[in-house]
Amino acid sequence: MEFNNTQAIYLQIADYVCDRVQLRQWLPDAKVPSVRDLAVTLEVNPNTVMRSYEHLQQQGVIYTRRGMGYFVSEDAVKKIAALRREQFLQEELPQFFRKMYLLGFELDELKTRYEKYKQQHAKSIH
Amino acid sequence: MISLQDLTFSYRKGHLVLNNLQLHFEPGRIYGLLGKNGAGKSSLLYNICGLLYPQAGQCQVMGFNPAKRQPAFLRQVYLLPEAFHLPDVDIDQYVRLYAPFYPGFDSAAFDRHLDVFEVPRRQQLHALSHGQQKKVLISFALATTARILIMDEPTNGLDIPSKRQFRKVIAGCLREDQCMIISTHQVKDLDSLIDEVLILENGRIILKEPVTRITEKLSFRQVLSLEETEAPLYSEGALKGYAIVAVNRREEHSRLDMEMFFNAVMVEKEKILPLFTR
Amino acid sequence: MQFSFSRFIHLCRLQLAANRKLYLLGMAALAGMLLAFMLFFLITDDELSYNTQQTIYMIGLVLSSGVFTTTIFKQYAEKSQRTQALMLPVSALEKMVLAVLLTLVVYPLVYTVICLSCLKVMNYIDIYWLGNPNALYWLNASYTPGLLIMYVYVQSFVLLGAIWFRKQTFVKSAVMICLIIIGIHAVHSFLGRKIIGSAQPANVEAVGQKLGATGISNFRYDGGMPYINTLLTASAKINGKWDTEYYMVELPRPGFAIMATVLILVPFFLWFITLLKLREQQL
Repeated sequence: MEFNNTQAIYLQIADYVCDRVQLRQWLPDAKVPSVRDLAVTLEVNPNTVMRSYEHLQQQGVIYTRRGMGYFVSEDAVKKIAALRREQFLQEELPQFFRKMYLLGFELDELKTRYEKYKQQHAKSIH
Repeated sequence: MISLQDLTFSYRKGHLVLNNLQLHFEPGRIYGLLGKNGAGKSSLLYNICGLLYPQAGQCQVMGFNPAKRQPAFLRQVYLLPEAFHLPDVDIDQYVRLYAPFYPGFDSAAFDRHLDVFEVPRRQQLHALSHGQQKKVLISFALATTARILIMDEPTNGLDIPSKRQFRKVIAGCLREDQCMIISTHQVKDLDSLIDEVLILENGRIILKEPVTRITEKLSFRQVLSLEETEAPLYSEGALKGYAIVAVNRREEHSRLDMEMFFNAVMVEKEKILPLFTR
Repeated sequence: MQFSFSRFIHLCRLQLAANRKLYLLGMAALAGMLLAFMLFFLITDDELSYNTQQTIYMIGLVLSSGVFTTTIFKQYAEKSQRTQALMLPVSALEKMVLAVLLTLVVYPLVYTVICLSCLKVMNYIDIYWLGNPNALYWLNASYTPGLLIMYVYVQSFVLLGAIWFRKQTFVKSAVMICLIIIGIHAVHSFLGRKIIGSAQPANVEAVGQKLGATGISNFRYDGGMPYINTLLTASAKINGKWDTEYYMVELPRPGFAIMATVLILVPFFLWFITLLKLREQQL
């Protein structure tokens, strides 16, 4: 995994875990890789992975069973979606609006484009 | 685990290499020791190992006085020096000769590390390149399971893929009762491994902070022009805009750019260091 | 001071394995040089006499052991090896015992085997090809014990030099030994003069007659080794002239005992200093 230069590594690792869960690569109630294994995979300090897992546990994405490690929460996908929607509204949308404003776009102008994108996307999935 | 009190060291009278150091190292962490050439990094590491004796002050490592160099101390401390010498034997013989001195030696781990580093077995050590030899020595160092592992410029002389392999190996090795100290100029190779940063200048520790606390206090960003943010503490021109170090006011968690942090501390000591006083 | 037998065995194995090539080459070179020396004497003297053989054996032992002993601590002197050698989990005592074992026991044995083998070959040539009926030097009950004691002395000093001097160890150690020999000689003379003073044997005349000389009037102390009572030498005035003959003078018992004790303790004292130096090696 390549880390980007801006976001803290522990958050990028948390994102990596969320991606796996959303893509259903890691299923609910399945064990997530041990701190050490993930640290080796990502070439980072195990303490950083520990911090990511603690962060995800606080968010309710994963939970711990004593002595057995961390597991994906049953409603992890829903929680991640909610978290990411919130993150989108908080962080990415203001940037998007800022650019729209700078370039002089109105929301209505983008609406038809968005509809077209949704149609294409639906097609490509089926 | 390691505790230095008022530690002072000099090679000659009058010129202090280490000046009244107070330092503590905890197990389960990886410390990154940064500093310019001649800042006293190696002298500090050698004092901890008992290879140099302090002129004044105390050095306690796992309850031992390192200067006595008792075997019970030495088998718990492994120093990977920057320049090293290996005997003219093959890898298996090397392990057979040296491993018995380390009762905790884990030969399965040694084999695993060599595999990760892709070093061929059944080779005479003198037939290997310097980089390959270094990988053998790193693998050996980690396999000793010594509780204190001190590495002086471990990635010097390693090729680009080996630096990734090195991170992988270290990430899989750190134990809770183990403390690693890595002295390096090549921070880019290692900054995802380091828990805590120490900066040594003119024989004094000017900063010792966990990475988490540094990113709490400071934010590392890329900006297109310096006007779009409040005046940064330090900036470096990049191809697309600037990389900046600024006071972290929005409680964002940015990624520590260790090289830039080091440069920023060197240039803007008066502005940055006060942020960390407790 | 800690000593663990198993660590010591591992240290021995390490020392031999790490220097295997050097030692094997050294043994071959030693045999070659000894043979060359013997050949040289065989040609220049037309024979290899018993005395020549003995001299070659002794000179060879002193010189080659000096070279060997000055390398015994080289891993603590060379910059590239020092750090790793000092970090090896062994105690200074274990390192010291290994050095003493190798230089004082193993080396003379190996040297003797090599040198005697070479002598055997050359003696064979000397007898059967050149027809010189020379006896083979096969150690020597009267000289060997004294030689061994001298060997232990010189080697103990060289051992100290090996750890004391980091660079040009051999040259510096050799200079050190020369200075020590000169120093010891000066001390001997001083001690001897102090002990003898202007004292004269009680029955000079009677002793002189016993020795077959007449007209002995007084003795003079010339020099020697007060530590070994029979080697104190003096010359006598016979018929008003100083005689060139040497006479043994014995020390009285208690004085000799004290000196002999000091003498026996010297190597141990040297080893102790070497051990201390070894223990406090820094980078």
